[in-house]
Amino acid sequence: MVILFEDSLGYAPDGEDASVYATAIDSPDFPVVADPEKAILSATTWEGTYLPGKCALTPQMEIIKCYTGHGNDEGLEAIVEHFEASR
Amino acid sequence: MRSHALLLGPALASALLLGACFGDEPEDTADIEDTSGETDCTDDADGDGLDACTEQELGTDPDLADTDGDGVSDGEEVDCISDPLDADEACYACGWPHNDPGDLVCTGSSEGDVITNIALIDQCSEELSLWDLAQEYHILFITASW
Repeated sequence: MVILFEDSLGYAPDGEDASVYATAIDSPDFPVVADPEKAILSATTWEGTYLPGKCALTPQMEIIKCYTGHGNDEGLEAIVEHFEASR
Repeated sequence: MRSHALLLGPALASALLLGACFGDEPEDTADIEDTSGETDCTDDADGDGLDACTEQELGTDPDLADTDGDGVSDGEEVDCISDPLDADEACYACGWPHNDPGDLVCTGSSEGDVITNIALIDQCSEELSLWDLAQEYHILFITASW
């Protein structure tokens, strides 16, 4: 899912920003959400210094890993590793 | 009529496939019993898309399309994985499931911890509880809009 941490001007995003972003990425069937309170900062170890941030979650909502960067491989590998370990 | 057999337990799914219910039946199902005394699982008296046996299993009123009175029919709530007995829970406009198992407890913000249940605003401008996305793996992609 995509979490908008701020709008294009650096201000708090809202539902309209989420809607515009979702349309721009061809209206995916996963949530695109605004986080106007920046709640993700205190909820994870991601520090918010650099964008994008990434956090992988288990089906039990456990944080597997948080990191910064555009690549998805790190998160996907962490998910695969968790899945294999939980089988 | 939708059977919803896949959403239910194996025992009820078997009962649906056999076209009969087993166990105690509520008093108000008398009008939907056939001559053999068994509940007619094809009956949908209130037209909410749930047959009589499914309503019995869920505890919803077979004669009331919207048991919890939240404006969404019982059948629609089952389809969107919402609780048809909870008036405070209805379908998300964007169709997200209500997958919060109800027993999650936030344990912190570090790796291995259960993340807190933050409230976010989705692309349908509706508040989305993060824990409703449980039961699947996720990568949170945190970025800025443009």
